[in-house]
Amino acid sequence: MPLLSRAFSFWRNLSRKAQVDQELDEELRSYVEMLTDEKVQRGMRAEEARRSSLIEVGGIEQVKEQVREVRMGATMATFLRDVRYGARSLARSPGFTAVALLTLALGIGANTAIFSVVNAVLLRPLPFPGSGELVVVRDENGKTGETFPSVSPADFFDWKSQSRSFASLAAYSGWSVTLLDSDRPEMIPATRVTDEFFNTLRVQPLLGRTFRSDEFKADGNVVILSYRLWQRRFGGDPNVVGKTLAVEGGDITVVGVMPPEFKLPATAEAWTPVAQDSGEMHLRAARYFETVARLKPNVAPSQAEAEMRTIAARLASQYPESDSNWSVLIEPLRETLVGDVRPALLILFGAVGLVLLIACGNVANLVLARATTRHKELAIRASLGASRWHITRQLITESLMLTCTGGALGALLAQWCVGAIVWLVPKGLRFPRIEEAHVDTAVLGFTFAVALLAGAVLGLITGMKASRADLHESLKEGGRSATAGWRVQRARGAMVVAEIALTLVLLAGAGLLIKSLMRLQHVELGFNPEKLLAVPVGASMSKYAQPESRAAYFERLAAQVQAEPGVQSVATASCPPMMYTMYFPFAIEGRANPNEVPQAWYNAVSPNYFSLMGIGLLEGREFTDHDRAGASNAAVINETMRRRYFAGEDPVGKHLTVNYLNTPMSLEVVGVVKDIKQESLAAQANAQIYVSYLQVPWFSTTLIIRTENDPGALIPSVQRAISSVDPTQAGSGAKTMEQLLSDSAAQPRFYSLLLGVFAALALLLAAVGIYGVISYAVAQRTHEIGVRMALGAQRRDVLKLVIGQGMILVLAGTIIGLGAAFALTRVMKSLLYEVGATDPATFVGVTALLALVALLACLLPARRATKVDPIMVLRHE
Amino acid sequence: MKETKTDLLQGTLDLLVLKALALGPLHGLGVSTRIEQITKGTFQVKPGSLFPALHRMEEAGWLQSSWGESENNRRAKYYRLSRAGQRQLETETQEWKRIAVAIASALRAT
Repeated sequence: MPLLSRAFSFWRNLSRKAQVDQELDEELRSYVEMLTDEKVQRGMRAEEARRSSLIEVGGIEQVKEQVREVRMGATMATFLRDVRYGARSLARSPGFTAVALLTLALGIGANTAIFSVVNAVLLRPLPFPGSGELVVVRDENGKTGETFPSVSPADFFDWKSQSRSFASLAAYSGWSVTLLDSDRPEMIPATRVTDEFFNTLRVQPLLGRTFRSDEFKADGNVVILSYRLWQRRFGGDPNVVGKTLAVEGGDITVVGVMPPEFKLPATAEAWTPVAQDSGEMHLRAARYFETVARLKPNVAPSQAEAEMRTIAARLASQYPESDSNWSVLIEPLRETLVGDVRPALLILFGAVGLVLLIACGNVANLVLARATTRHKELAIRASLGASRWHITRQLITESLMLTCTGGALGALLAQWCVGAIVWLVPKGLRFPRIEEAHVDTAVLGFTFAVALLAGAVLGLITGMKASRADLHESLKEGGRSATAGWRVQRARGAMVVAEIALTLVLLAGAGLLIKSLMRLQHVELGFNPEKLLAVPVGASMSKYAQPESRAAYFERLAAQVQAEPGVQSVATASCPPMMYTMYFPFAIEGRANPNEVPQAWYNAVSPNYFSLMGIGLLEGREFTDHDRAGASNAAVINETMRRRYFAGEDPVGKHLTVNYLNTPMSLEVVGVVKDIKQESLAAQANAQIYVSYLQVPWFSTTLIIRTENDPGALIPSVQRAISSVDPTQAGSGAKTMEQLLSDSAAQPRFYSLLLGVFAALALLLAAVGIYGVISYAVAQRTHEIGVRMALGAQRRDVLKLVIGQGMILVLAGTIIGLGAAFALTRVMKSLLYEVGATDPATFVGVTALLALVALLACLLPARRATKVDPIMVLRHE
Repeated sequence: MKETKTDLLQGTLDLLVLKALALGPLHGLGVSTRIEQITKGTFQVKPGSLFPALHRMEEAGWLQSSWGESENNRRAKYYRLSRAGQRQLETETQEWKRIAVAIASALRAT
């Protein structure tokens, strides 16, 4: 195959220098040997012959050097000549060049943008040294199959003392610190960490130090600031280390500032030590410690998991009331941080890949169309002595010039797109590491590789078609070519079929996501979200240590806010929907099932919570002002809890025991309310236990305010009201219910938007593709159509003829596309909400949409065909 | 060892190599021997100019090469004319004839 073996001669010269050198070496050596042989035959002595031969050659190395220079020079010269010729030829058809470049820039740009996200989120290593050894150890409930991101403090310390697989094991847990050092108190999301947290992650502070081992006590009173907080609140003050800050509950000393890239957990603004000597460390049933561990160098995650499972089994038999059915799962830290978004990202990445294929199909169509019109030029070149390889190389060079320029434009476009994507992305924990996405060298390398690949494929397709064409025929045919390029036309048809099929796959995917988003946004909430404002407030542990004082404080807060103008009514809840959830284990009194520890959502609410939210009462009663300390503990449960645990019984009057922070708390069920969407729009309802905050106040609460007008406008006055009750307390992080609901749908909305844009782009490209092919076919068949019309064909017949030609391609593409979509959309299952992966209505809908757009794309050239004047056509004969 | 009697004119070497190979495939030494024969010893091509020329012409697509056995069982790289090379030989022959006529008449004129 001389053509193929020479096709990459430039590449070979650059990359396989060693082999080329070796061949040259061998060639020269055999020359010397043969010369020597010749001299020996003429009667010279062997040794003398060899010496004289070497002298004659005059330095093998110099000869080699000269050859090398010549080779590189010739290749470069040919290459530059091809580039110049290509540039001239592309400049001669600016319309073609502009359309091709735009198409490629869109395709490559979209790929580059999504790849920068994939690179930042999935590929780039986590910003911790030796991050491959970092794992998360988490609880898994063998009974319900649910995995918890967390473990109880007591179990954690048992794991730590009993396991041998880890170089270190650390835990952390979110809480908040209220800063009082300015006139407006501010609640900062903080994270409490155990002693090995920072050295497990091997991070060094930017300023100061991490915690000393003697600081993990109740009176540790030290804090490490995040870079963000340091910049925002302390203006990047280099002397911040050593400063004492007034916080709610005492003073606290800054010992360090972390570097900007350190974000574990993502929301943390400050880190404080866990008091490892406190009674809290003996809690075993409440699972709220998240873990991170570094494996010992030669320990595989599976080995560590096996060891941890043995330990968990031991703990389960030792503490059955809290640990039975609980086992352990180990996964890489990366998985915990980005595992949730991986499927969606890969689907988006696949989708832009399809868009690029469609874009390449369109450009190949354009290039093929141009190749047919360039037939004569190429035939003339061939007759003047250009070899097939020459012409193919020229076409490949032109394709590469197109795709590389398109790639460069695409990279510019991507720069802008990445900014847009990052801006669009739901904020906070939902999309980890996205803010790191940008177009960097790795991404540009990817873009370049894509451009090269696209260029090579384009060039080969067109080059093969063009060089196969019979030179004789194209010269002979002259101007009129009724049947010329029939083979090219067929290739273009195949390309359109493929484009239609790919577009249908994308449309089906986008259609499913959009339908599922619509389902999600119209889901039955179980409460009335209009004009609701949620304002979280904490209660000082020192001032309000007693439950009674805490309840009284929350009551005063509610009363104060109620007095603000514009407030209709105020309720409180420890866990307002879409904001927080809390789980506690419970048992039903009088039922012996020691092997089951069911968990329920727990929520301490005010008596008017149900009426304010509009949560329907199914039986029994709501809480009243009499459900407070001193009266017997009351509980309201939801309908899921009644269905799951009280089938065929009346739950009202039954008693529950909730494991409340390691102390059993007995509650009497007084009522049953309807289910609400508590955790998120998509999450299924769980069993839920409500208690009265007047009776069992949680450590913090959220004011839920029904307002008369725009709830967002009321935030400042509500905050003022809170400070007027107690100036050392803050109400931060206020959100309207509208915002919370919108946040809960943010991720599906983001995916639908991106996939929708890609599908629309694909549809547009496919329409252009069909339009191009049919227009071209009409132009080629003008003569035939003219003859038909002269013989009596009506407009209708011509329309049918042309549209029929287009719709056959569409039909073939649709059939293939539907098959592919059926096979492919199942990978999206995890992204869909109450929509099947092969939802028939969606499939029918997108097929109809595609067929309609394709029909319009055919209609334009078809109408042109009907305007053919038979007399003109025949006169041209 | 005798010196090259005539310096090769720019472009002449290519023509000679093409001509030498027009009669059949040859290895490097064969090409220089053949040139010496057909020019009756006027031109002697040294490896320092021969090999760069062979490789340049191969790169230009005029020559194709393959490895084979020499007459006394040595592995050698053989060159032969490609179709483009044959055309090149014709073009250069015409060109050469034109130049030769022009030079000859120029010399006669003085």
